[in-house]
Amino acid sequence: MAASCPAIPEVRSTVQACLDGVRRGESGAAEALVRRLEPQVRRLVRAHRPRAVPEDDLVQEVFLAVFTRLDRYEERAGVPFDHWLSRLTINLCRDALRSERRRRPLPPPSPEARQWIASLVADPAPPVDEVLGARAAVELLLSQLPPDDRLLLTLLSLEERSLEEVAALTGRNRTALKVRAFRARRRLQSLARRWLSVGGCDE
Amino acid sequence: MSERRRFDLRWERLVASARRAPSPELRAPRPGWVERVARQGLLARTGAPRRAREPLAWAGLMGLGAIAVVVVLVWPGPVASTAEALASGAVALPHSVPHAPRLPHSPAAPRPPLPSRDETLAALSRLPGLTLDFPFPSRRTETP
Repeated sequence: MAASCPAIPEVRSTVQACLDGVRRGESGAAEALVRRLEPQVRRLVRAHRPRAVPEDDLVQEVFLAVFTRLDRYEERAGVPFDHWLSRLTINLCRDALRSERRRRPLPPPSPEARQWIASLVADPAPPVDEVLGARAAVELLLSQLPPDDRLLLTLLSLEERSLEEVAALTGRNRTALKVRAFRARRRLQSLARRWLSVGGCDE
Repeated sequence: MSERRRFDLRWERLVASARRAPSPELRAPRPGWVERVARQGLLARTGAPRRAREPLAWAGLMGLGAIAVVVVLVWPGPVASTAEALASGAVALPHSVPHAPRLPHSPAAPRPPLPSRDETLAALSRLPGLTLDFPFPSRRTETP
C-alpha cells in the first residue's frame, strides 16, 4: 500500500511531492517515497541481482543512491522519475554483477531443466508445460554469461522490453545493443552445446 | 534453416515458457525496514558531498571589487593618471616595435643547358649495351 506524505495527503501523494519533501529533509516524505517505490525497485533488483548479493541489501543500496543523487534528477520532458529510477537500479545491479568476482557454484539442475537445455541444441522435444524447469534452465544459462550480456538478454528476452527501452535504460546505442544481443545469443549457444558435451556447466 | 536461426527460435520457445513460470510474490517489507531505509537515506543526503557553491571564492571576488572601488574613490588622481599612462602605452605599443628587415631575394639556381635532340640520339646510338630499337616502336601500353 502506498502511503502518502503526511503534511497535505491529497496533494502529496504524488512522487513529485514526496521528492520535494525529501529535498527539504522531511522524514515522512522519505518514508512515503520508499514505501511507494519499493515494489518497483525490488522487482528490478530481483530480476538482475547477482546471486551472491542479498536482495534486501541491493534494494537498500538503490534507495541510498536515490536519496544521495536526487539533486541530479531534474524532470525534463520525456524523462519521468520512474525512468530515472529504473536506470539507476539497473546500473547498480550491473555494477554488483561486475563486482561479483567469483560465481557461486550452481545447484544441479532438475531433469526438466536439463531437458530444456538439451532441446536448445539437439532435437529432443522440450518438456511441455514444464515452466519451472524452463525458468531454471534460463537462469542457469544466463548466470554463465558476462554481466552485460546477462542484463541485456534478461531485459530483451525475459522481460520482453524493446530495444528502444533497453537503450534508454542502459544508456547504450540501439545498434550496439543489437550486435551485443546477437553475440550474447551465440555465447549462449556455445554454452548450451558445451553444457551438453560435458554434462553440466558448473566450473 | 541455419543452426543459428534454429537456436534462436528454440531460445525464444524456452524463454516463452520461462516467462509463464510463477515468479515469487513480492512480500511486504519487514516492519521497520522502510523507516530505517528512509532515515539512512536522509542521513546520506545530509552527508553527501553537494555541489560546492564556493562561498569563499565569491566573498573574495566581492572583497576585491570593494577594495577597487574604495581605491578609486580615495585616490582618484593617481588612479586616473596610471590608467591613462597604461592606455597610452598600450596604444603606442604597435608603433614602438620596429618592422623586421625585408630579406633579400635569393638568386635563381643555375640551370645547365640541355643537350640538343640530335646530340642525345647520337649518344644513345653509341651506347654498346643498348639493344633496344630506338626510337621505340609505338606500342599500346598495357595497364593492369
